[in-house]
Order: sequence, then structure tokens, then C-alpha cells
Amino acid sequence: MRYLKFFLLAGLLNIMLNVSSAQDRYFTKSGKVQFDATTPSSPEKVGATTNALICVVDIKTGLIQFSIVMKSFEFKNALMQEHFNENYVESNKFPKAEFKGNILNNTEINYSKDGSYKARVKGQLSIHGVSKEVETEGYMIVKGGKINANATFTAGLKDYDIAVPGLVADKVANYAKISLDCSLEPLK
Amino acid sequence: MKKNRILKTVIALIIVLSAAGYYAYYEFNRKNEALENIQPAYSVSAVEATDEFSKNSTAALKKYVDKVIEVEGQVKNVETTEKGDVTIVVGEENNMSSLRFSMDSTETKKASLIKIKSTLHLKGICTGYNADEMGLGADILFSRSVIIDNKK
Repeated sequence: MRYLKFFLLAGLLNIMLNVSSAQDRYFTKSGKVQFDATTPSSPEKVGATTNALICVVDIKTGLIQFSIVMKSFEFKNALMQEHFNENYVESNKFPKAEFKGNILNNTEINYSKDGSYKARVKGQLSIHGVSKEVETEGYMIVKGGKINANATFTAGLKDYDIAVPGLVADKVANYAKISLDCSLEPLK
Repeated sequence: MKKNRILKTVIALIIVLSAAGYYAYYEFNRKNEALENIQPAYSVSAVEATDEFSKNSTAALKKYVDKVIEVEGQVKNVETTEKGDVTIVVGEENNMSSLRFSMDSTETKKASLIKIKSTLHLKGICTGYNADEMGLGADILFSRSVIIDNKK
């Protein structure tokens, strides 16, 4: 009986130590994403911005997730925005872009100490109904109990079945430069 | 007579081509229309909208997405990024679900002065819905939003 109690207690303690609490999770619902797919010869910028990125990071496990509603991207040009949604990303069929992965060097990041830490991230990026494994580098900047997560990477449009019509090939690049910037707060 | 007909045809062609050219130029350079001037497709309270989406998000999305929606509700939070972009979060205080209004750049100064718990009347284009998949509460998203009036 004594041994049973001991194992039960040890098991409970093990679970408590390994299950992430809400305090281990940091999040934002207003992260910024900018993408730029402008060719050098284009007379105007082909790009857009959204402030509706959802990002959740578990600082204990290194799990990191992003989600963006594609229609939240705002363009300066209305026609470009319509083409983006109707023809390129088909946002009615594929309303979101998502990423789920891990911070590979999470143990090297000291979330209790203010500083700028390089973060290597790897996971599945899903855009336009296509999922691909991606790996990139970014930064986790810890300051005053908050975390700023930012990264810049490129994504090939063809890799996600996004076709660029020949008519605009001189304006729209085959690769989009994507920048993320999130100010994360503890999830209470 | 024949010369007259040819002349009329050429003039008509010039008019049609000029009109087409003007239309193409206008469309190519068209900016998004300011929401102040657009009549909303629907006018709802934040509570009604949240209920509608939680009961059947597919039907609610079909009804609201891409449309200008006017909403009245209580301000839960006003979020301002370092670059000055403002998002006003509206909804019931004890409900994790919210309506998130990304404010038009012309409204950011006015929006940043909005007080939490005040009742706000605003409109925006519904861009989508985030169900509660990450334990953060569900959100209905709006962009290019403008304030109609604010009851403190």
C-alpha cells in the first residue's frame, strides 16, 4: 500500500512538472505580417499587410503556432486585393494560412532574462491548401516580461500552387518575402 | 455618304476606346472606398454576432464575410502596435469570444482614445472568423473599420 501511494505521488508529480501551465504560453491576436512579391521592374508595390496574426508560443516546450485569415491582408490598390483573394490565394476556399512547429533551440533561450535570442524554427507551413515543411531563423526579444517574436523568410508561390499569370509576370515575383512581428504577452 | 459613315464609325470607335481606356486606368488605380460612405449590409449587436457565429460559423460566415457590418457593443480592449495601428476589441466582458476591429489608418487617433467598457458603435468589413482552436477564445474579424459614435 505504501509503495502504491509512493508511485501514485511520483506519477502525479511527474505529470505536474511536465504539463505546461497557461503561464508557459505567450500569445497575441494582433501580430503584424507583411508580404512583398514585387519584381524589380514593377512600377508599383505588390504587397500587403495584416495586423490580425494569431501567434501562440509555449516557452516550456518550444511549440509555436501562427494563424492568419487571408482576407485580413490590406492592399493599397483595391483591384490588387480582389485579385489576391479571388485568383491567387482563393481565400473563399482556403481562408487561412497556418504554421505549426517548434523552436529547435528553445533551451538556449532564457525567457527570464531580458535579451535578444536567435531562434531556429521548423514546422509545417500551410498556404492555399498546401502544407510544406519549412525551417527559418528569427529572434525572440525578451523585455520586461514580454516577448517580441520576429522573423523574415521567403516562400515560393509555386510551392503553394499559387499561379502567377504571364500577363503580370513582370510585376509579381515568384517568391514572396514575408515578415512577421509579434508582441507576445503571457496567457492568463 | 460613304465618307460620312466611315467618319461616324471612326468617331464612335474613338469614343468607345477612350471610355475603355479610362475605365482600365480607373480600375487599375482604384483605392478601397472609405467605409464612412458605404451603407452596411447588416446592423447587429456584438452579442448577437457572437451567438450567430458560435451556433453555426459556416452560415454566419456566408452571411457576413466581405460585407460592411455595423456593430454596437462594449469595448473590451484597445490594442495599439508600436507603429500606431489600432485594433478595438468588442464583446461581452466575461466571454472569451470577441469582435476584433482593425481600424482604418484615418481613424487610429480617434480609436486610440476610446475607453474600455464604453459602448461603441462602429462598422467594418468582415474578413473572417477564428474559432477557438488554440484556447484563446473565438474572434470575428473586421478590417478598415470606422467609428460611428461612442457612448461613454
